[in-house]
Amino acid sequence: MISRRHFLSIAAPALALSGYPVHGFTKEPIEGRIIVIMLQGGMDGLLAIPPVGDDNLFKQRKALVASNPLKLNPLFGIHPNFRNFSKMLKSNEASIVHATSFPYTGRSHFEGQNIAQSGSKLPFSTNTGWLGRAMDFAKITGKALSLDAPLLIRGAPEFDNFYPANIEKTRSPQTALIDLIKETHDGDVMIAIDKLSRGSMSRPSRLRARDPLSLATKAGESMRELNGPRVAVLTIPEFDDHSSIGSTTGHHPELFTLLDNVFYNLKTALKEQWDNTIVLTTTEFGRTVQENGSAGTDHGYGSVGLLAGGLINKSSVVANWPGLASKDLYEKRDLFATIDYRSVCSACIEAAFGLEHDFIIEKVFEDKKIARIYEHIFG
Amino acid sequence: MTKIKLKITLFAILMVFGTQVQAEENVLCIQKFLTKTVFNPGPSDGAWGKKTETAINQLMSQANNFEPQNIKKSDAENICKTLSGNQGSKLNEIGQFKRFPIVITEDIGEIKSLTDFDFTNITLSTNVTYKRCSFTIIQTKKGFTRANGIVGIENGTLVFKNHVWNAGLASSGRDHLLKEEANLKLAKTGVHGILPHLSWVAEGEVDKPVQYITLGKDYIKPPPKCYSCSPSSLEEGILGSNNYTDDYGNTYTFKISSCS
Amino acid sequence: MYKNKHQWARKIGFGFRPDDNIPLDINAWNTDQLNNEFPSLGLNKVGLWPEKYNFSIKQRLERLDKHITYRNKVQAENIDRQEKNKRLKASRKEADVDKYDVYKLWNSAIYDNDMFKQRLLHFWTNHFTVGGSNNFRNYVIGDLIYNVIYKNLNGSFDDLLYLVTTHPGMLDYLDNQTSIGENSIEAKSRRKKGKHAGLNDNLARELLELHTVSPARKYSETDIRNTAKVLAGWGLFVGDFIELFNNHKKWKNISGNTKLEEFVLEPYIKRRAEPGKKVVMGKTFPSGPKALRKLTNMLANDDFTAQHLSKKLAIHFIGENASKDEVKIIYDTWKKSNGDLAEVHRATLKVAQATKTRKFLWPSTWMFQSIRVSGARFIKNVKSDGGFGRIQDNGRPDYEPKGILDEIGHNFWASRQPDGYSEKKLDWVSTEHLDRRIRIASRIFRAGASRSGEEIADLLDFSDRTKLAISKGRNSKEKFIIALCSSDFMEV
Repeated sequence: MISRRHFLSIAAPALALSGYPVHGFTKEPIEGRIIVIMLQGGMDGLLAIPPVGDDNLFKQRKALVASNPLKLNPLFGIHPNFRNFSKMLKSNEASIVHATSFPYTGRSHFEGQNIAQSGSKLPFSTNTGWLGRAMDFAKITGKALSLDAPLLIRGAPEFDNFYPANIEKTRSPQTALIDLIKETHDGDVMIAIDKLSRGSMSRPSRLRARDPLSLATKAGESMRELNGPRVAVLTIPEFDDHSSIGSTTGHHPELFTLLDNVFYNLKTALKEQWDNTIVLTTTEFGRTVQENGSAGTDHGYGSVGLLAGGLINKSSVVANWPGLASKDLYEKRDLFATIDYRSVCSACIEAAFGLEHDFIIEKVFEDKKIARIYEHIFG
Repeated sequence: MTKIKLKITLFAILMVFGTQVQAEENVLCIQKFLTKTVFNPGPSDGAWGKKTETAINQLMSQANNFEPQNIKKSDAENICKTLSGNQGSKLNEIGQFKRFPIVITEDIGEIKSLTDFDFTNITLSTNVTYKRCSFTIIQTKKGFTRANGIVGIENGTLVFKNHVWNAGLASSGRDHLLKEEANLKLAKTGVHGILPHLSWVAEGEVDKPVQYITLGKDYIKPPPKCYSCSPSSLEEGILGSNNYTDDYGNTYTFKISSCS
Repeated sequence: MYKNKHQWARKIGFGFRPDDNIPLDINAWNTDQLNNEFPSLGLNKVGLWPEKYNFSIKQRLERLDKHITYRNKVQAENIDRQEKNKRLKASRKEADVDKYDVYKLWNSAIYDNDMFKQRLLHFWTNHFTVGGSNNFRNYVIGDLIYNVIYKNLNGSFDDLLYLVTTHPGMLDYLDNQTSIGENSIEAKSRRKKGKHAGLNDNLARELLELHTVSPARKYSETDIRNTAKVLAGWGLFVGDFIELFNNHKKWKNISGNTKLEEFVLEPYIKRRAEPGKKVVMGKTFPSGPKALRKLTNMLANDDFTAQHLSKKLAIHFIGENASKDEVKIIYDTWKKSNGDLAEVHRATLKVAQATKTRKFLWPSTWMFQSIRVSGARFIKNVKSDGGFGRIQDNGRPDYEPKGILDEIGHNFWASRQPDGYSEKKLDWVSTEHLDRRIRIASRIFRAGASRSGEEIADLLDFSDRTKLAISKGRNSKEKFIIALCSSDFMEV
């Protein structure tokens, strides 16, 4: 674990020496870690966390409710495939936010994913992500566990990606060669090549697995290293179940199992750093309340956010439950989103990096007012 | 005399009326505050009704670790003071969201990850030594190989060498094979597979602390040394009951063969 | 301006091989590229792509059906699980066509002379993304690419749009085969049995959002819903075509086609269609199969479609920073010619010729150019005289071409989202992406490149800075890799 003094000296000399609060930070910077799991395609929140205490649930989507959800409280249950996550709920290491979404109602993957990463209200309006901007202000490094570098993490002063190659008869490129190539480039490409060069000694030379579970373990391990990244981004695709979404079993439930095991792997790999960590899911939108004609669901609005990590204080479901009667739905088809998910993102940044809420809203999300949900999760 | 009585009565009426107005103001103050939260007090009419009472109790309970509050109409003045004071903005912040505490009474049980395998039922012979055997762990129903590699048996204990694991859920696709040394940790009561990458075990070594599989007494004698015989008949002999079923209903079979 | 002919050939194509004939008159060459005067030939001893590896949609479905029949038989047998899997795997491998399709893509990019057409093919294939799957969609993706898109590059956009929208691959990919009209005969029959049946709006949404008018048009959710109603009844699961076609012939009211090859081209199933009129974006469409063509025509002719696609074409060939004026030239041509793709492509070529903007090449484009310009062989099992000789010999190409495309993150057969691969530079410059390019470059070198790094630098007029870096390479392999991974080569 990085000693506090070491962190301060490499991150911002002013902090170590000034002795009084620096603009943006609460008291002192906190050495927390954030892991974002992007669920691509639109996660069906009602299938994951069914509001079993709401009579309309069974009226609206009878065939899509799991037969044996685990009961969390009188209103909410959780899909039985979330075994590990449920255990974390039981030990106050996880929480759920329901009926929530980024401020986007357009139902397009393209736009929705952009907004879920950029954190702005208009799609394609920035080249950076909310996480990247937060990392920039807090001077923190991160890692994306994917072939590309997602928008979410762009804007960070330092980030890298990890996705091992599987091309026969090739080896990791050598530093000297990479440096020569670098000499022919400018700008972003040059920066990326520079990173490749600096990381070339630590790149694995043999094949590693690239499925989300293995990458989760890799992420956790990296985040324990001295000077390792304090942010990681994982992606789980294929949530766009327009047909045969499943209920107790099926495609979506299989993804729940995968997600559940990603949580488990992260916790196991992080070991003592789990106490300093917050993991949160994001998704571009939820799905329609009612089943469509293909035993699936179409694009919707409100969904859930699943959070886990030692930074959480007490497990709960946070929701301003809008209800599932037809009159309570958005455009008579989707679960309403009554919580702006940016509140959740801000709270996580506040908990892990120690930036102040107002600062985050103004500088990271570039907005005027977003409600503070911190006390409900980390308080 | 009458004049004074009249004055006193008048004064008494005014006092009562005044107090009533004050009381209404306090309720109104609470209602106005609550209206800006998710705890709905009903119409802001200054009347302390059931809605108002429920709403303020919910808010204050949520702000106080869900302890029941028992706030009544008579507490209105104090409550109003609290809401208007320096705790007000904090309470307003708390009041933007409803929180439902989680109480899980069911027993979730021992959770294992997808790459944990508990072959506690494995019984091995005590006298056997083979430097190299091939092993596979197969998901019995789909016939899909979960892991394979080389294992040695030294004086009856399993020593794992090279392994290849199917990571993740997918049973097909290019990325499912983990072509590096994964590891199997030997636990006291059996073999536990642990997550790849977690603790890398070099070829030939055994994870420490060293714990070995205890070999059972039911043991089928291997055939006599035969250089031209195929050793596959050892398969059933070395391992007794060797199936494991995970939490998702998948059964795995642990097989050893081709020992030398 | 592209005075260097090799650079020009890279701008709109894949560059010239060492053994290509460099045209003396580049304008004549441009005209030839557009008019498809070049048959799809490789050069020298490469010869034509063997006809037996061109599969029609009917042939693909028949191969698939054969595998499925065998699979059902094997699964019913009482044999060991592992043996079953072994047999099924072998049958699947035998039936697979996409390995040939991928090989053809490689071969065409590296050897064919109609390189501008090949680039257009990649562009439109990406625009009309049909993602792969573990089911059987991969059998028909090649059909969409070669028999539909390639053959219509000189036609009109509304023809292309209709053909793509009604293609079995597209209908399967966007779940249209499970979208059934709520008031259709099929839905009513299912509801009687207590089952659920109705629409989904996946294809309808992407048809409007991605393929034609784009969200700029500001259509409503009702428009999407009604589009879904027009589309209801089109499509079958790819694996079901032959079996259900045979069954459906018994159904009354199936569209009068009696041949499989006609049915697959317009797989409309009346009993699943939504009856009645539908209104989309202010226009009314009748019930019946002809409504879809009317709808796609309306979308194809919408001004927003012209704007959307002109911009995409400009970005693909000119680069992310294509100017509004450059887009406008293509757009004006689109409008004037009513979406005549030959004219539109001609305008694109013209704009590309005049531009100063550089494009950061897609990974696959870069890779094909690297192989082509350097004269390397690269694909395993390819004879030294080029082409795909060994495919003809043993008829069993390996899977590596597809695997390599996966590794660089640019595979037209990969499972992916309908918006396809990005045209933005930043999406392709992660450290891992660059790691891949360096690895691929080293493989290309080992596959017998006949042009060295220095020669390539001279040929393509690289900057002095790059030439200096190349000169510092310690051996010919390093020089080669530096040349191919330089900014001069990655952008054009």
